[in-house]
Amino acid sequence: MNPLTPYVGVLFQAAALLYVLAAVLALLRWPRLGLSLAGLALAVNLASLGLKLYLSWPMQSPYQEPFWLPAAMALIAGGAHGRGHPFLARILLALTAVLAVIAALFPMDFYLPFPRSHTMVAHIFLVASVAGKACFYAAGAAAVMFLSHEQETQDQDRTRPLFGRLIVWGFVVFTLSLFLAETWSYLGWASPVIWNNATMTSTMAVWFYYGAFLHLYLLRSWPARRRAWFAAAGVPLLVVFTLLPETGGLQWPEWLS
Amino acid sequence: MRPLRALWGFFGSALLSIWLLLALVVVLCCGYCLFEAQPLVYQPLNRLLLWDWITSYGWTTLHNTWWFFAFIILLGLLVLNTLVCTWQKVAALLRREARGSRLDYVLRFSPHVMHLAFVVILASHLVTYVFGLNLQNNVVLLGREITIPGSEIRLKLAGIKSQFYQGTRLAFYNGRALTQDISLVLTEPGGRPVRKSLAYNSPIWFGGYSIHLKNYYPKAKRSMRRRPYANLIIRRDPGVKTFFAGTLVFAVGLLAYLWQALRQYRQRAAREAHP
Repeated sequence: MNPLTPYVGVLFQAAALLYVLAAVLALLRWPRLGLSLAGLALAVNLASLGLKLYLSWPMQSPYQEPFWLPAAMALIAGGAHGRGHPFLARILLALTAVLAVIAALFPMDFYLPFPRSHTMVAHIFLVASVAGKACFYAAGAAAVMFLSHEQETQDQDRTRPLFGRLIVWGFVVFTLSLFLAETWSYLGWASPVIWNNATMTSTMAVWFYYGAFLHLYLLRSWPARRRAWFAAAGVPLLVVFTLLPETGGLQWPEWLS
Repeated sequence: MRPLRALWGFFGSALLSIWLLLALVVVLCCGYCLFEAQPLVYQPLNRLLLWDWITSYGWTTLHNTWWFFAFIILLGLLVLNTLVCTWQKVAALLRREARGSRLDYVLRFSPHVMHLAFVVILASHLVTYVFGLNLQNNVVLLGREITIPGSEIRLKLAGIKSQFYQGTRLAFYNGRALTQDISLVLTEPGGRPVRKSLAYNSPIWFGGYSIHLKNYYPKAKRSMRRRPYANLIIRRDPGVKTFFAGTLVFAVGLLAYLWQALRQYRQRAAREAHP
Protein backbone atom coordinates (compact mmCIF):
# COMPACT_ATOMS: atom_id res chain seq x y z
CA MET A 1 0.00 0.00 0.00
CA ASN A 2 1.19 3.49 -0.79
CA PRO A 3 1.96 5.25 2.55
CA LEU A 4 -0.10 8.24 1.41
CA THR A 5 -3.31 6.17 1.15
CA PRO A 6 -4.59 6.73 4.75
CA TYR A 7 -4.41 10.49 4.22
CA VAL A 8 -7.24 10.32 1.65
CA GLY A 9 -9.66 9.39 4.45
CA VAL A 10 -8.10 11.68 7.05
CA LEU A 11 -8.31 14.69 4.72
CA PHE A 12 -11.92 13.93 3.87
CA GLN A 13 -12.84 13.55 7.54
CA ALA A 14 -11.18 16.91 8.25
CA ALA A 15 -13.15 18.45 5.37
CA ALA A 16 -16.41 17.01 6.79
CA LEU A 17 -15.64 18.52 10.21
CA LEU A 18 -14.88 21.89 8.62
CA TYR A 19 -18.12 21.75 6.58
CA VAL A 20 -20.09 21.11 9.79
CA LEU A 21 -18.36 23.99 11.56
CA ALA A 22 -18.91 26.26 8.55
CA ALA A 23 -22.61 25.36 8.39
CA VAL A 24 -23.10 25.98 12.12
CA LEU A 25 -21.36 29.37 11.91
CA ALA A 26 -23.29 30.34 8.76
CA LEU A 27 -26.65 29.36 10.24
CA LEU A 28 -25.97 31.17 13.51
CA ARG A 29 -24.63 34.70 13.40
CA TRP A 30 -21.53 34.61 11.31
CA PRO A 31 -22.41 33.87 7.69
CA ARG A 32 -19.22 35.41 6.28
CA LEU A 33 -16.99 33.48 8.64
CA GLY A 34 -19.00 30.36 7.83
CA LEU A 35 -18.50 30.85 4.10
CA SER A 36 -14.78 31.47 4.52
CA LEU A 37 -14.49 28.27 6.52
CA ALA A 38 -16.50 26.48 3.82
CA GLY A 39 -13.86 27.65 1.35
CA LEU A 40 -11.19 26.02 3.50
CA ALA A 41 -13.33 22.85 3.80
CA LEU A 42 -13.68 22.78 0.02
CA ALA A 43 -9.89 23.10 -0.39
CA VAL A 44 -9.32 20.16 2.01
CA ASN A 45 -12.09 18.15 0.27
CA LEU A 46 -10.40 18.81 -3.11
CA ALA A 47 -7.03 17.83 -1.65
CA SER A 48 -8.54 14.49 -0.57
CA LEU A 49 -10.07 13.94 -4.02
CA GLY A 50 -6.81 14.96 -5.73
CA LEU A 51 -4.79 12.56 -3.59
CA LYS A 52 -7.25 9.73 -4.28
CA LEU A 53 -6.97 10.45 -8.02
CA TYR A 54 -3.18 10.54 -7.77
CA LEU A 55 -3.24 7.13 -6.05
CA SER A 56 -5.45 5.53 -8.70
CA TRP A 57 -4.79 7.42 -11.97
CA PRO A 58 -5.26 6.51 -14.83
CA MET A 59 -7.88 4.23 -13.27
CA GLN A 60 -10.69 5.04 -10.90
CA SER A 61 -12.05 3.45 -7.73
CA PRO A 62 -15.75 2.65 -7.51
CA TYR A 63 -18.14 4.36 -5.07
CA GLN A 64 -16.42 7.76 -5.21
CA GLU A 65 -19.50 9.92 -5.73
CA PRO A 66 -20.29 10.58 -2.02
CA PHE A 67 -16.84 12.19 -1.62
CA TRP A 68 -17.23 14.39 -4.71
CA LEU A 69 -20.77 15.47 -3.91
CA PRO A 70 -19.94 17.82 -0.95
CA ALA A 71 -17.34 19.59 -3.11
CA ALA A 72 -19.89 20.15 -5.90
CA MET A 73 -22.47 21.33 -3.37
CA ALA A 74 -19.98 23.74 -1.75
CA LEU A 75 -19.19 25.19 -5.18
CA ILE A 76 -22.91 25.74 -5.85
CA ALA A 77 -23.27 27.32 -2.38
CA GLY A 78 -20.44 29.72 -3.27
CA GLY A 79 -22.15 30.50 -6.58
CA ALA A 80 -25.47 31.15 -4.81
CA HIS A 81 -23.75 33.53 -2.40
CA GLY A 82 -21.99 35.33 -5.26
CA ARG A 83 -25.28 35.76 -7.14
CA GLY A 84 -27.05 37.40 -4.25
CA HIS A 85 -28.76 34.44 -2.55
CA PRO A 86 -27.01 34.43 0.85
CA PHE A 87 -29.78 32.58 2.69
CA LEU A 88 -29.85 29.82 0.07
CA ALA A 89 -26.05 29.60 0.32
CA ARG A 90 -26.38 28.93 4.06
CA ILE A 91 -29.03 26.24 3.54
CA LEU A 92 -26.80 24.63 0.89
CA LEU A 93 -23.88 24.68 3.31
CA ALA A 94 -26.00 22.83 5.88
CA LEU A 95 -26.93 20.22 3.24
CA THR A 96 -23.26 19.97 2.22
CA ALA A 97 -22.29 19.29 5.83
CA VAL A 98 -24.91 16.53 6.16
CA LEU A 99 -23.76 14.87 2.93
CA ALA A 100 -20.08 15.13 3.93
CA VAL A 101 -20.75 13.56 7.36
CA ILE A 102 -22.67 10.69 5.72
CA ALA A 103 -19.77 10.09 3.31
CA ALA A 104 -17.18 10.28 6.12
CA LEU A 105 -18.97 7.94 8.53
CA PHE A 106 -20.57 5.49 6.09
CA PRO A 107 -17.95 4.86 3.39
CA MET A 108 -18.41 1.87 1.12
CA ASP A 109 -15.79 -0.84 1.70
CA PHE A 110 -12.37 0.00 0.36
CA TYR A 111 -12.23 -1.00 -3.29
CA LEU A 112 -9.21 -0.91 -5.53
CA PRO A 113 -9.27 0.87 -8.89
CA PHE A 114 -10.28 -1.49 -11.68
CA PRO A 115 -8.68 -1.84 -15.14
CA ARG A 116 -11.83 -1.06 -17.16
CA SER A 117 -11.97 2.41 -15.58
CA HIS A 118 -8.82 3.28 -17.52
CA THR A 119 -10.59 5.63 -19.93
CA MET A 120 -11.32 9.36 -19.96
CA VAL A 121 -15.02 8.59 -20.49
CA ALA A 122 -15.16 7.08 -16.98
CA HIS A 123 -13.57 10.14 -15.37
CA ILE A 124 -15.78 12.66 -17.20
CA PHE A 125 -18.82 10.51 -16.36
CA LEU A 126 -18.03 10.71 -12.63
CA VAL A 127 -17.70 14.50 -12.68
CA ALA A 128 -20.87 15.00 -14.78
CA SER A 129 -22.92 12.58 -12.68
CA VAL A 130 -21.92 14.33 -9.45
CA ALA A 131 -22.53 17.80 -10.93
CA GLY A 132 -26.01 16.80 -12.13
CA LYS A 133 -27.00 15.33 -8.77
CA ALA A 134 -25.58 18.34 -6.90
CA CYS A 135 -27.83 20.61 -9.01
CA PHE A 136 -30.84 18.45 -8.07
CA TYR A 137 -29.96 18.64 -4.35
CA ALA A 138 -29.49 22.41 -4.63
CA ALA A 139 -32.83 22.71 -6.43
CA GLY A 140 -34.48 20.83 -3.55
CA ALA A 141 -32.93 23.24 -1.04
CA ALA A 142 -34.01 26.26 -3.13
CA ALA A 143 -37.53 24.83 -3.35
CA VAL A 144 -37.72 24.35 0.44
CA MET A 145 -36.57 27.94 0.87
CA PHE A 146 -39.18 29.13 -1.60
CA LEU A 147 -41.90 27.28 0.30
CA SER A 148 -40.78 28.63 3.67
CA HIS A 149 -40.61 32.24 2.42
CA GLU A 150 -43.75 32.36 0.35
CA GLN A 151 -45.24 35.19 2.41
CA GLU A 152 -42.29 37.44 1.60
CA THR A 153 -42.88 38.57 -1.96
CA GLN A 154 -39.34 39.79 -2.57
CA ASP A 155 -37.74 36.53 -1.55
CA GLN A 156 -40.28 34.59 -3.56
CA ASP A 157 -39.37 36.54 -6.67
CA ARG A 158 -35.73 35.83 -6.13
CA THR A 159 -36.08 32.09 -5.52
CA ARG A 160 -38.83 31.26 -7.97
CA PRO A 161 -36.71 30.89 -11.09
CA LEU A 162 -33.84 29.38 -9.13
CA PHE A 163 -35.04 25.86 -8.37
CA GLY A 164 -36.44 25.51 -11.90
CA ARG A 165 -33.17 26.65 -13.45
CA LEU A 166 -31.12 24.39 -11.20
CA ILE A 167 -33.22 21.44 -12.30
CA VAL A 168 -32.77 22.38 -15.97
CA TRP A 169 -28.99 22.47 -15.46
CA GLY A 170 -29.08 19.28 -13.42
CA PHE A 171 -31.17 17.45 -16.00
CA VAL A 172 -28.87 18.50 -18.86
CA VAL A 173 -25.66 17.50 -17.07
CA PHE A 174 -27.16 14.31 -15.58
CA THR A 175 -28.47 13.19 -18.98
CA LEU A 176 -25.07 13.80 -20.58
CA SER A 177 -23.51 11.74 -17.77
CA LEU A 178 -25.90 8.88 -18.55
CA PHE A 179 -24.90 9.00 -22.22
CA LEU A 180 -21.24 8.85 -21.16
CA ALA A 181 -22.04 5.89 -18.90
CA GLU A 182 -23.72 4.09 -21.80
CA THR A 183 -20.76 4.78 -24.07
CA TRP A 184 -18.33 3.47 -21.45
CA SER A 185 -20.56 0.45 -20.87
CA TYR A 186 -20.65 -0.35 -24.58
CA LEU A 187 -16.87 0.01 -25.01
CA GLY A 188 -16.03 -1.97 -21.87
CA TRP A 189 -18.82 -4.53 -21.55
CA ALA A 190 -20.23 -4.71 -25.12
CA SER A 191 -23.66 -3.27 -24.27
CA PRO A 192 -24.93 0.24 -23.46
CA VAL A 193 -26.99 -1.29 -20.64
CA ILE A 194 -25.50 -3.80 -18.20
CA TRP A 195 -27.76 -5.79 -15.90
CA ASN A 196 -25.24 -6.29 -13.11
CA ASN A 197 -26.24 -3.59 -10.70
CA ALA A 198 -29.62 -2.46 -9.36
CA THR A 199 -28.56 1.19 -9.32
CA MET A 200 -29.23 1.21 -13.07
CA THR A 201 -32.97 1.13 -12.31
CA SER A 202 -32.80 3.79 -9.60
CA THR A 203 -30.75 6.05 -11.89
CA MET A 204 -33.47 5.74 -14.53
CA ALA A 205 -36.08 6.52 -11.83
CA VAL A 206 -34.26 9.76 -10.97
CA TRP A 207 -34.03 10.70 -14.66
CA PHE A 208 -37.76 10.11 -15.22
CA TYR A 209 -38.62 12.03 -12.04
CA TYR A 210 -36.80 15.18 -13.13
CA GLY A 211 -38.06 14.65 -16.68
CA ALA A 212 -41.58 14.78 -15.18
CA PHE A 213 -40.67 18.01 -13.38
CA LEU A 214 -39.65 19.64 -16.67
CA HIS A 215 -43.06 18.74 -18.12
CA LEU A 216 -44.98 20.35 -15.24
CA TYR A 217 -44.91 23.80 -16.87
CA LEU A 218 -47.33 22.39 -19.45
CA LEU A 219 -49.98 22.04 -16.75
CA ARG A 220 -51.62 25.33 -15.91
CA SER A 221 -53.00 23.80 -12.72
CA TRP A 222 -49.46 23.43 -11.33
CA PRO A 223 -48.39 26.79 -9.90
CA ALA A 224 -44.89 27.52 -8.60
CA ARG A 225 -45.77 26.39 -5.06
CA ARG A 226 -46.76 22.89 -6.18
CA ARG A 227 -43.72 22.65 -8.45
CA ALA A 228 -41.57 23.61 -5.46
CA TRP A 229 -43.04 20.69 -3.49
CA PHE A 230 -42.20 18.42 -6.40
CA ALA A 231 -38.59 19.68 -6.52
CA ALA A 232 -38.23 19.28 -2.74
CA ALA A 233 -39.61 15.72 -2.87
CA GLY A 234 -36.76 14.84 -5.24
CA VAL A 235 -34.21 15.08 -2.40
CA PRO A 236 -35.36 11.97 -0.46
CA LEU A 237 -35.53 10.11 -3.77
CA LEU A 238 -31.91 11.10 -4.47
CA VAL A 239 -30.77 10.11 -0.99
CA VAL A 240 -32.49 6.72 -0.92
CA PHE A 241 -31.82 5.65 -4.50
CA THR A 242 -28.51 7.27 -5.45
CA LEU A 243 -26.63 8.14 -2.25
CA LEU A 244 -27.36 5.18 0.05
CA PRO A 245 -26.38 2.54 -2.57
CA GLU A 246 -22.93 4.18 -2.65
CA THR A 247 -22.48 4.10 1.12
CA GLY A 248 -21.69 1.26 3.53
CA GLY A 249 -21.96 0.52 7.24
CA LEU A 250 -20.91 2.87 10.02
CA GLN A 251 -17.12 3.18 10.31
CA TRP A 252 -15.72 5.49 12.95
CA PRO A 253 -12.55 7.28 11.85
CA GLU A 254 -9.46 5.56 13.20
CA TRP A 255 -8.36 8.61 15.17
CA LEU A 256 -11.74 8.58 17.01
CA SER A 257 -11.77 4.89 17.81
CA MET B 1 -64.78 9.39 -35.60
CA ARG B 2 -65.46 10.89 -32.19
CA PRO B 3 -63.87 8.03 -30.19
CA LEU B 4 -60.78 8.28 -32.37
CA ARG B 5 -60.55 11.99 -31.78
CA ALA B 6 -60.97 11.45 -28.04
CA LEU B 7 -58.22 8.83 -28.12
CA TRP B 8 -55.98 11.21 -30.11
CA GLY B 9 -56.61 13.91 -27.52
CA PHE B 10 -56.01 11.50 -24.63
CA PHE B 11 -52.69 10.24 -25.98
CA GLY B 12 -51.53 13.77 -26.81
CA SER B 13 -52.17 15.14 -23.34
CA ALA B 14 -49.33 16.47 -21.19
CA LEU B 15 -51.10 15.20 -18.07
CA LEU B 16 -50.78 11.65 -19.38
CA SER B 17 -47.01 12.20 -19.90
CA ILE B 18 -46.60 13.24 -16.28
CA TRP B 19 -48.64 10.35 -14.91
CA LEU B 20 -46.71 7.90 -17.07
CA LEU B 21 -43.36 9.36 -16.00
CA LEU B 22 -44.36 9.19 -12.33
CA ALA B 23 -45.64 5.64 -12.76
CA LEU B 24 -42.25 4.76 -14.28
CA VAL B 25 -40.52 6.27 -11.25
CA VAL B 26 -42.62 4.13 -8.88
CA VAL B 27 -42.13 0.96 -10.93
CA LEU B 28 -38.36 1.52 -11.21
CA CYS B 29 -38.06 2.13 -7.47
CA CYS B 30 -39.87 -1.17 -6.87
CA GLY B 31 -37.56 -2.66 -9.52
CA TYR B 32 -34.54 -1.44 -7.59
CA CYS B 33 -35.62 -3.29 -4.44
CA LEU B 34 -36.60 -6.46 -6.32
CA PHE B 35 -33.36 -6.42 -8.36
CA GLU B 36 -31.37 -6.08 -5.11
CA ALA B 37 -33.30 -9.03 -3.68
CA GLN B 38 -32.54 -11.38 -6.61
CA PRO B 39 -29.80 -9.99 -8.89
CA LEU B 40 -29.11 -13.40 -10.43
CA VAL B 41 -32.50 -13.31 -12.17
CA TYR B 42 -31.49 -10.20 -14.17
CA GLN B 43 -27.85 -10.92 -14.95
CA PRO B 44 -28.73 -13.33 -17.79
CA LEU B 45 -30.15 -10.30 -19.64
CA ASN B 46 -26.49 -9.51 -20.38
CA ARG B 47 -26.23 -12.58 -22.62
CA LEU B 48 -29.80 -13.61 -23.58
CA LEU B 49 -32.17 -12.03 -26.07
CA LEU B 50 -35.30 -10.51 -24.56
CA TRP B 51 -37.68 -13.30 -25.56
CA ASP B 52 -35.31 -16.01 -24.33
CA TRP B 53 -34.98 -14.22 -20.98
CA ILE B 54 -38.75 -13.77 -20.68
CA THR B 55 -39.45 -17.46 -21.32
CA SER B 56 -36.62 -18.75 -19.13
CA TYR B 57 -36.44 -16.28 -16.22
CA GLY B 58 -39.14 -13.61 -16.58
CA TRP B 59 -42.26 -15.78 -16.42
CA THR B 60 -40.90 -18.30 -13.96
CA THR B 61 -40.05 -15.65 -11.34
CA LEU B 62 -42.97 -13.32 -11.93
CA HIS B 63 -43.26 -12.52 -8.21
CA ASN B 64 -39.91 -10.73 -8.61
CA THR B 65 -39.92 -9.66 -12.27
CA TRP B 66 -43.44 -8.15 -12.51
CA TRP B 67 -41.95 -4.67 -12.39
CA PHE B 68 -39.93 -5.38 -15.55
CA PHE B 69 -43.11 -6.16 -17.51
CA ALA B 70 -44.86 -3.12 -16.03
CA PHE B 71 -41.80 -1.08 -17.06
CA ILE B 72 -41.99 -2.32 -20.67
CA ILE B 73 -45.75 -1.61 -20.88
CA LEU B 74 -45.32 1.88 -19.42
CA LEU B 75 -42.46 2.61 -21.83
CA GLY B 76 -44.69 1.51 -24.72
CA LEU B 77 -47.44 3.88 -23.56
CA LEU B 78 -44.90 6.68 -23.08
CA VAL B 79 -43.64 6.19 -26.65
CA LEU B 80 -47.21 6.42 -27.97
CA ASN B 81 -47.86 9.50 -25.85
CA THR B 82 -44.57 11.10 -26.96
CA LEU B 83 -45.27 10.51 -30.66
CA VAL B 84 -48.83 11.88 -30.57
CA CYS B 85 -47.88 14.83 -28.37
CA THR B 86 -44.86 15.70 -30.52
CA TRP B 87 -46.94 15.47 -33.69
CA GLN B 88 -49.57 17.84 -32.27
CA LYS B 89 -47.06 20.32 -30.87
CA VAL B 90 -44.82 20.39 -33.98
CA ALA B 91 -47.85 20.81 -36.27
CA ALA B 92 -49.04 23.73 -34.13
CA LEU B 93 -45.56 25.24 -34.12
CA LEU B 94 -45.25 24.96 -37.91
CA ARG B 95 -48.66 26.59 -38.41
CA ARG B 96 -47.66 29.49 -36.22
CA GLU B 97 -45.65 32.30 -37.80
CA ALA B 98 -42.27 33.01 -36.26
CA ARG B 99 -42.84 35.96 -33.91
CA GLY B 100 -39.81 37.80 -32.59
CA SER B 101 -36.39 36.33 -33.12
CA ARG B 102 -35.92 33.55 -35.67
CA LEU B 103 -33.50 31.84 -33.28
CA ASP B 104 -36.14 31.67 -30.54
CA TYR B 105 -38.54 30.09 -33.01
CA VAL B 106 -36.01 27.45 -34.06
CA LEU B 107 -35.04 26.71 -30.45
CA ARG B 108 -38.69 25.99 -29.65
CA PHE B 109 -38.29 22.77 -31.63
CA SER B 110 -35.57 21.50 -29.29
CA PRO B 111 -37.86 19.56 -26.87
CA HIS B 112 -39.43 17.82 -29.85
CA VAL B 113 -36.00 16.85 -31.20
CA MET B 114 -35.29 15.27 -27.81
CA HIS B 115 -38.66 13.49 -27.78
CA LEU B 116 -38.09 11.93 -31.19
CA ALA B 117 -34.52 10.97 -30.28
CA PHE B 118 -35.86 9.35 -27.09
CA VAL B 119 -38.20 7.18 -29.18
CA VAL B 120 -35.30 6.27 -31.52
CA ILE B 121 -33.13 5.28 -28.53
CA LEU B 122 -35.86 3.03 -27.09
CA ALA B 123 -36.60 1.48 -30.49
CA SER B 124 -32.90 0.73 -31.05
CA HIS B 125 -32.73 -0.97 -27.62
CA LEU B 126 -35.67 -3.14 -28.61
CA VAL B 127 -34.00 -4.07 -31.92
CA THR B 128 -30.81 -5.00 -30.04
CA TYR B 129 -32.64 -7.19 -27.51
CA VAL B 130 -34.85 -8.87 -30.13
CA PHE B 131 -32.62 -9.33 -33.19
CA GLY B 132 -29.05 -9.07 -31.91
CA LEU B 133 -26.46 -11.77 -31.51
CA ASN B 134 -24.67 -11.87 -28.17
CA LEU B 135 -21.93 -14.46 -27.79
CA GLN B 136 -20.19 -14.28 -24.44
CA ASN B 137 -17.10 -16.30 -23.40
CA ASN B 138 -15.37 -17.09 -26.70
CA VAL B 139 -12.02 -18.33 -25.42
CA VAL B 140 -9.18 -18.31 -27.98
CA LEU B 141 -5.77 -19.75 -27.11
CA LEU B 142 -2.66 -17.98 -28.34
CA GLY B 143 -1.85 -19.05 -31.90
CA ARG B 144 -5.22 -20.83 -32.30
CA GLU B 145 -8.07 -19.93 -34.62
CA ILE B 146 -11.87 -20.01 -34.21
CA THR B 147 -14.71 -19.35 -36.62
CA ILE B 148 -17.16 -16.66 -35.54
CA PRO B 149 -20.46 -18.52 -34.96
CA GLY B 150 -23.03 -17.88 -37.68
CA SER B 151 -20.40 -16.69 -40.14
CA GLU B 152 -17.34 -17.90 -42.01
CA ILE B 153 -15.04 -15.28 -40.56
CA ARG B 154 -11.95 -16.85 -39.02
CA LEU B 155 -10.37 -15.23 -35.99
CA LYS B 156 -6.86 -15.99 -34.78
CA LEU B 157 -5.22 -14.81 -31.57
CA ALA B 158 -1.84 -13.68 -32.88
CA GLY B 159 -0.33 -12.07 -29.79
CA ILE B 160 -0.78 -10.65 -26.31
CA LYS B 161 1.34 -7.72 -25.20
CA SER B 162 0.89 -5.86 -21.94
CA GLN B 163 2.42 -2.78 -20.42
CA PHE B 164 3.03 -3.69 -16.79
CA TYR B 165 2.96 -1.02 -14.13
CA GLN B 166 6.15 -0.55 -12.17
CA GLY B 167 6.51 2.03 -9.46
CA THR B 168 5.47 3.03 -5.97
CA ARG B 169 2.51 5.32 -6.66
CA LEU B 170 0.10 2.47 -7.52
CA ALA B 171 1.79 0.08 -5.09
CA PHE B 172 -1.14 -2.38 -5.16
CA TYR B 173 -0.81 -2.60 -8.96
CA ASN B 174 2.90 -3.32 -9.19
CA GLY B 175 3.68 -5.86 -11.91
CA ARG B 176 0.07 -5.91 -13.19
CA ALA B 177 -0.99 -4.94 -16.71
CA LEU B 178 -2.06 -1.33 -17.08
CA THR B 179 -2.69 -1.50 -20.82
CA GLN B 180 -2.93 -4.42 -23.20
CA ASP B 181 -2.60 -5.06 -26.91
CA ILE B 182 -4.45 -8.21 -27.96
CA SER B 183 -3.54 -8.86 -31.57
CA LEU B 184 -6.22 -10.58 -33.66
CA VAL B 185 -6.03 -11.69 -37.29
CA LEU B 186 -9.42 -11.82 -38.99
CA THR B 187 -10.07 -13.42 -42.36
CA GLU B 188 -13.26 -13.32 -44.39
CA PRO B 189 -13.82 -16.15 -46.91
CA GLY B 190 -11.74 -15.35 -49.98
CA GLY B 191 -10.39 -12.23 -48.30
CA ARG B 192 -6.96 -11.19 -47.12
CA PRO B 193 -6.13 -11.54 -43.40
CA VAL B 194 -6.63 -8.30 -41.48
CA ARG B 195 -4.69 -7.65 -38.27
CA LYS B 196 -6.52 -5.67 -35.57
CA SER B 197 -5.63 -4.65 -32.06
CA LEU B 198 -8.02 -5.16 -29.15
CA ALA B 199 -7.96 -3.87 -25.55
CA TYR B 200 -10.29 -3.11 -22.63
CA ASN B 201 -12.62 -0.26 -23.65
CA SER B 202 -11.31 -0.52 -27.20
CA PRO B 203 -13.36 -3.04 -29.18
CA ILE B 204 -12.89 -3.80 -32.86
CA TRP B 205 -15.48 -3.92 -35.63
CA PHE B 206 -15.24 -6.38 -38.50
CA GLY B 207 -17.73 -7.78 -41.03
CA GLY B 208 -20.77 -6.50 -39.11
CA TYR B 209 -19.54 -7.88 -35.77
CA SER B 210 -18.07 -6.08 -32.79
CA ILE B 211 -15.48 -7.91 -30.72
CA HIS B 212 -14.86 -6.88 -27.10
CA LEU B 213 -12.23 -8.05 -24.66
CA LYS B 214 -13.80 -9.76 -21.64
CA ASN B 215 -10.72 -11.27 -20.05
CA TYR B 216 -7.24 -12.49 -20.97
CA TYR B 217 -4.16 -14.17 -19.57
CA PRO B 218 -1.49 -13.33 -18.46
CA LYS B 219 -2.41 -10.04 -16.79
CA ALA B 220 0.58 -9.86 -14.44
CA LYS B 221 4.33 -10.05 -14.89
CA ARG B 222 4.60 -12.95 -12.47
CA SER B 223 1.82 -15.36 -13.35
CA MET B 224 1.39 -19.10 -13.11
CA ARG B 225 2.57 -20.97 -16.19
CA ARG B 226 -0.59 -21.39 -18.23
CA ARG B 227 -1.42 -21.07 -21.91
CA PRO B 228 -2.11 -17.46 -22.80
CA TYR B 229 -5.66 -16.84 -23.96
CA ALA B 230 -8.19 -14.13 -24.69
CA ASN B 231 -11.85 -14.39 -23.72
CA LEU B 232 -13.91 -12.41 -26.22
CA ILE B 233 -17.46 -11.10 -26.41
CA ILE B 234 -18.66 -11.28 -30.00
CA ARG B 235 -21.73 -9.25 -30.88
CA ARG B 236 -23.81 -8.43 -33.91
CA ASP B 237 -25.91 -5.55 -32.72
CA PRO B 238 -28.25 -4.14 -35.39
CA GLY B 239 -29.50 -1.39 -33.05
CA VAL B 240 -26.30 0.04 -31.68
CA LYS B 241 -25.53 2.52 -34.50
CA THR B 242 -29.09 3.87 -34.33
CA PHE B 243 -28.78 3.99 -30.56
CA PHE B 244 -25.69 6.18 -30.64
CA ALA B 245 -27.12 8.33 -33.45
CA GLY B 246 -30.25 8.83 -31.30
CA THR B 247 -28.08 9.67 -28.31
CA LEU B 248 -26.18 12.26 -30.32
CA VAL B 249 -29.39 13.88 -31.60
CA PHE B 250 -30.81 13.86 -28.06
CA ALA B 251 -27.66 15.58 -26.77
CA VAL B 252 -27.92 18.26 -29.48
CA GLY B 253 -31.62 18.81 -28.63
CA LEU B 254 -30.74 18.93 -24.93
CA LEU B 255 -28.09 21.62 -25.40
CA ALA B 256 -30.46 23.62 -27.63
CA TYR B 257 -33.10 23.29 -24.88
CA LEU B 258 -30.63 24.62 -22.31
CA TRP B 259 -29.78 27.53 -24.61
CA GLN B 260 -33.50 28.28 -25.00
CA ALA B 261 -34.10 28.13 -21.24
CA LEU B 262 -31.16 30.49 -20.54
CA ARG B 263 -32.31 32.94 -23.24
CA GLN B 264 -35.84 32.96 -21.85
CA TYR B 265 -34.48 33.63 -18.36
CA ARG B 266 -32.33 36.52 -19.61
CA GLN B 267 -35.21 37.99 -21.60
CA ARG B 268 -37.49 37.80 -18.55
CA ALA B 269 -34.82 39.42 -16.38
CA ALA B 270 -34.36 42.22 -18.95
CA ARG B 271 -38.14 42.82 -19.07
CA GLU B 272 -38.28 43.02 -15.28
CA ALA B 273 -35.33 45.47 -15.20
CA HIS B 274 -36.90 47.73 -17.89
CA PRO B 275 -40.66 47.22 -17.73
